[in-house]
Amino acid sequence: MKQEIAQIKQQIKNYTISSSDELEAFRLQFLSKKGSIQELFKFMKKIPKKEKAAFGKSLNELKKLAQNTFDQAKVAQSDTHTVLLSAKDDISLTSLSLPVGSVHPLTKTLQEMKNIFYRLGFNIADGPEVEDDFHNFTALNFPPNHPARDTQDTFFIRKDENPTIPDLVLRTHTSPVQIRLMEKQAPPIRSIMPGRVYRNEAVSPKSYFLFHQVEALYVDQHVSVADLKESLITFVKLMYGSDVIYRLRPSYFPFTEPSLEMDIWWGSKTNGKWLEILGSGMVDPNVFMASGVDPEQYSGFAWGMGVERIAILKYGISDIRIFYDNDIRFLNQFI
Amino acid sequence: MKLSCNWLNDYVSLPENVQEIADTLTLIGLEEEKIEHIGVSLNQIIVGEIRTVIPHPDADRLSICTVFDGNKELKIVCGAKNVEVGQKVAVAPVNSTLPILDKQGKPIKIKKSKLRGVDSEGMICAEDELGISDDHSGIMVLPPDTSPGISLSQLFHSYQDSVIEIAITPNRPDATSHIGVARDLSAKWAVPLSIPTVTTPEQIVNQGKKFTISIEDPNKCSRYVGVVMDNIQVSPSPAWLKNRLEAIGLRSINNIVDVTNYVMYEWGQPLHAFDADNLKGSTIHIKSFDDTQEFTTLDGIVREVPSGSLFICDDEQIIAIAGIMGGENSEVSLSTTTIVLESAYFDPSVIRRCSKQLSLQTDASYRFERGIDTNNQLTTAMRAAGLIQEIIPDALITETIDIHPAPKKILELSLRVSRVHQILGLKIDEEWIIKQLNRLEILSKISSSGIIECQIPTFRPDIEREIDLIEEIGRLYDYNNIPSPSNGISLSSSPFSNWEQDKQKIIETLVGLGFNEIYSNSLISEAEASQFGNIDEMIATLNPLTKDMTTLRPSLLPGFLKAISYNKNRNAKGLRFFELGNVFFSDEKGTFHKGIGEQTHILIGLAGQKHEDHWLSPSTKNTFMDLKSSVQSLLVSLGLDHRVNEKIDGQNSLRYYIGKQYLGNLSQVNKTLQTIYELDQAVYFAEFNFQLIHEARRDFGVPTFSKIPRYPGIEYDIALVMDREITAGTIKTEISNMGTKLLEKVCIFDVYEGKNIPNNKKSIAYRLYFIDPNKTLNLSDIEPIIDKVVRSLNKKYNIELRS
Repeated sequence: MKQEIAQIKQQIKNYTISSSDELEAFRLQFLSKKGSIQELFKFMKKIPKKEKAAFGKSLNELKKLAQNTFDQAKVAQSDTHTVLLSAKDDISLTSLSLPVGSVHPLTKTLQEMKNIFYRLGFNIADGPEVEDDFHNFTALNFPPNHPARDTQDTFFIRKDENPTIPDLVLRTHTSPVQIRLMEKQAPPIRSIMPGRVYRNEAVSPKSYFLFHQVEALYVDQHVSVADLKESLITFVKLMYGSDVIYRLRPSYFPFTEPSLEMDIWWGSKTNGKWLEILGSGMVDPNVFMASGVDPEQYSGFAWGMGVERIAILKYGISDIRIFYDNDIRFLNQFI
Repeated sequence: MKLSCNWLNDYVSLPENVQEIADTLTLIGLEEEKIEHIGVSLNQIIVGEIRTVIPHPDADRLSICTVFDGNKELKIVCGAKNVEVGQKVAVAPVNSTLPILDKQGKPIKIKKSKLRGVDSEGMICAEDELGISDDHSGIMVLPPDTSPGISLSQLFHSYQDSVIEIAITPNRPDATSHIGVARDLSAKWAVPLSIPTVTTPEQIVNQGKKFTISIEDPNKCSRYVGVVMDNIQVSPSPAWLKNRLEAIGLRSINNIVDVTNYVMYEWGQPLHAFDADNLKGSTIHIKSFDDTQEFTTLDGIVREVPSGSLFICDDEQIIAIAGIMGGENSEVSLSTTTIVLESAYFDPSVIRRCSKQLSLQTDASYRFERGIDTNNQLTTAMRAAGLIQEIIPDALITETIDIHPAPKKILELSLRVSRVHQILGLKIDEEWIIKQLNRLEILSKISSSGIIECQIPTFRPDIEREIDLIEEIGRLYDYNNIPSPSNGISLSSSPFSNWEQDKQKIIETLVGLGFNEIYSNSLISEAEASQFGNIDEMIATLNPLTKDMTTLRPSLLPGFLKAISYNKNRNAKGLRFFELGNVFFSDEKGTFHKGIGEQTHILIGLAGQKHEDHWLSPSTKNTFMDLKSSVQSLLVSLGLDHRVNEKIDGQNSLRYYIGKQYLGNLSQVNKTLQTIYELDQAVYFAEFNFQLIHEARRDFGVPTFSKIPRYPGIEYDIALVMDREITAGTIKTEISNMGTKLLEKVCIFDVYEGKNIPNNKKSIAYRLYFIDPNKTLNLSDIEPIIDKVVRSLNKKYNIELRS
């Protein structure tokens, strides 16, 4: 008897119901009064009393299985048999697309940088793009005949014979905002200063006459090269991953002393090169004095880097001009 | 600057590995830019004797040779026609490397190989395969008496060198010479520096006064040494001199000029040699003129040298532009027999100005501009004279003149060890500091507790302050070795600026509304700028590189239109752009500087299709109302929708105000601009003053919770028939103002004109939402308000309820 139950169970499991005819055939075979399960119930009387309960139980389970299978198949049948109401009720039709906006890749890069600086406790400051000679050069310790002051490199907005009227330039870097900050507030200062800067240069895939920089300034008592190093390392690790390979090397900028640059290793271990990513240093005492900060009481560090340069590395861009074409096919890659 | 490793090795003992030298240079601030290897190594190539030659059984052109290498016989397959028994030839044995590189720039290693089934144990070389010449006509045949087995390098002396090109920062004039670089390396590696000894002139007898020297202004020329030499024979330079100069990229000219260049690259002191027989009179003048001078430099170019430039003159004429280039008239030539060697110090700013004005930078001007050693003129002149005497044994020094009107004092600085610790963030041992400084020839000793007294050598004009000494210590210690605290710097309590937050808020909102951010150029051409206002009220650059970038943008509109046009030309269908950037205009008071207004603006604009053909609806164009919706959403998002009011300004433009202040406009781009930017479809834009938005948002303070109303509100519709001239917005404002505080908002839900409405009229239907926080409103509560509104509108505008 057990064998027959198992056999029917197997038959039910193997039964494929893909039409209403098959569904009816299933019902007749297993669930009707003359069906195979009902037939088995007839044997009930012949079962010894001791086994009756177990036999009854397994028969009921079998019946339940057949009924469930039937019910599920019926539901499935009724689903597929729903009549399509109309062609436009087809939910596989494409939807109307809503516009999806994007931030410019330079904004995106800048936001990443800002997020890192937020974690380092820096806030954000801003300054003008048209800047006077004092803030752009003199206060930053550029000697009077420094090449950067030449008209060859810098856009002049105003140049007056009268020495009391200051020369105006399109700022060549974001460093003048350092001076403005220190003039305005006493240390401690911990700020970054992003912005647009200008160089009077011919346009090429590698250079454009305007670009963007981020300047960082930290001034307090007892700020040292070690602190600078700490924040540089934290920055590159957060920007490029904790396994970034970097090096620091001495350099020169008029407004920092000592000055150092940071390179990161770009490419694989065997096939790569050092790429300069930022310039930095300890704020030069002359810069402090020009801004009204006592260099004996305070020390500080500053660093600057180009947003385009970082974005170019990050996104593998080969021509800087593409940032200013605003081609929608380019912009849509940064959604 | 290019550095020859052979040359450097004269002064400081270098490690074998060139990359190691280059890395060290980088880490002390002389950044390596390139490494070049010059010359070829013939060490691995040996002389072989051909003992037998038989034809290759399977190849007509090949022969099988037995070659004796001094030890054993090698079987080598050779393809040259000129191979013969008994020849002495150059053999590259198995496992040797050819001195030349393959087409991919990789070394060629000789391997044991099979040529048409025959083993070959090496290669018999042609001249081109050895890098000796370009000859590939056959194998190189050596003289018959050459002994087999010796290295080819014993037969051919090929000059080999490694050249490191370094970038020199403007603060390191001392590093423009091999000795200067060697000094840094000796300090870094703590190894001795050996500088060539130079005979001092006291031991040389002056043979009379052929020349005197006159310096007009000691501020422009603080020292001038002239050494007169006789019995000069000008000829090509000896190989050692040629090799060194050519290795660093200089062309060898003749023995005299080459020596002056050699000493310049050795010490950093530019020298010049005049042909003394071509000098008129007996005085050498160093002076300036008040007017422009025409002068032919030794490169044959006639130059207009501006007034104020410094010249070297004889009694009649100019013979050199000081510190930049000598003249054709006194150039050393093959017939020269007497020379005057010049070694001088010229003021950096004088040379820089002149070099710039002439657009002429030379190796000499490059060094003078940066500031050479103020005190090394005599030594270098004598060094050059000594080298000339080595090369031309008959040469005589007949006269040594040293005019030194303004000797520079040695600068003394105090260095606080505590300050070093403070700036570098590291406790460096006092002894170490002193040792390092002394290696840099900064004579240093402890004067009192914690103070080091330093004498700054004259070749380091960049070291003027204590901080400059600290930099020297830092760079020799290597910044990479300074431990960073690795606990992060302390927290900051200063908040993010609201300015920044407001900018972010706008960017996020507009991205959410489906706009793409653009970055446009802030410098445009004057012609373009003139389309956007009065050019006299704009800010222009005085010295633009091209006419395309003369004027600072007075608005973000030109950049936006350019971006639309650019994309239209590339078949873009629908465009939604925004930009946040600064605009510039004349402003007497000025934002930061008198006369210059600088303002941050926000532009939002759209053009083209709202969407393409779609089964739900055919393609739809963007309209004014589409942009107005986005602007409205932005204002809601900024919390300013209730504070901004709009005014109609012509048919296609709205002006927005916050209170009385003009915020900006929302407009359709006019036909003229559409033509200029070649736009065939309507373009809409809104440009707002970000500063005003920022200020308005500051009035809010911290947003506080207001209770959710517990009672339902009530809606009331009224259709008003009014003159066509009246704008719907005007009436909406009127209704809002009269609706008491129960009126929450007013919408327009229907606009109708035509049948049943008089010709000159239109019907606008308004839906008014009323709500009372304290009770459920009934119609009876608001009917009096409606009555009042309708009556008032009737009286003021002759408006009637539509029946």
